[in-house]
Amino acid sequence: MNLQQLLSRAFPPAHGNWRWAAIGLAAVACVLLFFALQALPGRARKALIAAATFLSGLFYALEFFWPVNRKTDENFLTFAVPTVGNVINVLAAFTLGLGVFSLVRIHLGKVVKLREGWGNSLVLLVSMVVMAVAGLGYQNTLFFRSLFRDVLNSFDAAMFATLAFFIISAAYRAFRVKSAEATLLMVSALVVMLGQIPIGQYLTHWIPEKGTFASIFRLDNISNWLLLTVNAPATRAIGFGLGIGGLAIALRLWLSLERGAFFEAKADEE
Amino acid sequence: MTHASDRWESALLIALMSVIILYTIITAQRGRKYFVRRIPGLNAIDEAVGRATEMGRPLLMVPGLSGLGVVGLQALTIFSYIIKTAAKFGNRLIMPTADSALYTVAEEVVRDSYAAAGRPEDYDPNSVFFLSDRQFAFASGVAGTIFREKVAASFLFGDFFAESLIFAEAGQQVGAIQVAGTVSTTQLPFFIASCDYTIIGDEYYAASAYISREPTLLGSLVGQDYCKIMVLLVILLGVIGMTIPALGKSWWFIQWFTLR
Repeated sequence: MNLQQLLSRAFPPAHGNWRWAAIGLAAVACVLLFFALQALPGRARKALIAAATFLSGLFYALEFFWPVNRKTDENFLTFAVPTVGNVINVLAAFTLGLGVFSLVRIHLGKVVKLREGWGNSLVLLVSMVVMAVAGLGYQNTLFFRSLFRDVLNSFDAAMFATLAFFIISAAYRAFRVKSAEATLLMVSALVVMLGQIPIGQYLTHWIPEKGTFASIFRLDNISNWLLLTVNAPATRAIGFGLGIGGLAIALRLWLSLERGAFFEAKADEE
Repeated sequence: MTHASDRWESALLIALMSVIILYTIITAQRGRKYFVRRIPGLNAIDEAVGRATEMGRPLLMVPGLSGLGVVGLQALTIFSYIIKTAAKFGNRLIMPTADSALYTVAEEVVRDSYAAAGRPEDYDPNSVFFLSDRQFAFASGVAGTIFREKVAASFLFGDFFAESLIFAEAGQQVGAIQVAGTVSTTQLPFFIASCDYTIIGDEYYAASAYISREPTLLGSLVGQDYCKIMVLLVILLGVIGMTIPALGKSWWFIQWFTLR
């Protein structure tokens, strides 16, 4: 009997009223676990969190490194990946509630105390309630579609459009010739831009595209060279560094070696 | 589903790098001293906090659209240091978040940082708040906050996408001193153009070690450098292999690292 069969036998799927009972029991178990965690002294809680973190990480590490059955492309843990993923989704759902609570707490406080900008807070709260009602109860109606497509998406598009103006002001600052590096940047940017647009390509279209020494002076060729030979390796090098950095921090978090920011101070105080 | 047996060579490299990083962490914990070069962007943090103190205006910290992953947690580690420094001077801080899971941890981190700085009474529960998980709704919320509060310093650390320039330019317009760092390489040019200091590439992950000088983090940082040397050697061997005709594509080393 493999692990999957063993777990299926231990926790058979619940149907009908049993399903609701199982959900209720799970909820009660979560609440009890929450209070038990709160009651634990800081150091014990820290040890428990470290153990849970290690076991969760170990699951994914084992699932990745354990050899797989070539026919099914699965090992003895693969079947549990969706279930573990669901646990993460459930935890994320709980935190979404906390996020909404934060929004309501701050903006309701503003409205009640009539602080500066309370009108904006009122609009936010009303919009939030209207959107939630539309999403929960009227999904296939014109009301829902109007709110999401005509209002929310239009706002998103408007915000995205402001980027065009911000890019111009940022480019103006970046390309001001005030040092050797800025000059190099400006010239490279100009060549890359010209190499991408028809009028730029037209400027050197009389030079053969390839096969002669002069071909390297075509604007589109210089542009491609800058993008593929200068820019791409630099980006890949940054990518390597980030990948290795990510691995290091993941290891530190997995083995609870990360100190300072997360729960450490509190645990040590207690 | 991806497994190690799909590409044993990659898995072997990951395992080897993990061993190297853990080894350097252990040696650092046992007292070996490591040197870290100067990172101007991180030195500027104190300057930015000092300026906010002089101006009497708040500090803004944005973890971008980061979720509860290594990027978001690293952003919080950096913010934790900034908050400890800011708390000593009584600066007000604002931290909007776009991810509800990160928001809960951020709240805890900010409270703990004030406590660690010896100023738990200065912690304002309204300083950390969840705005929206929609990219541009979050962007408009943060930009509005920057303009309304006229922030003196803006710290942008985490995952950023198209909204990065909205934050950075809004900060520019109110004259904030800005320090940014992200793992999103496509957003780096925008930050470089608009921010006073930008932390590039793996400097982002080096930040906590650089700031805290904690042996575990320093050891990890040195381990990362050894791993980079290893990757560099692999690349060099690959270049040599492809350059020398006698070796070429059929050389086992090239074959081993060829994508199939």
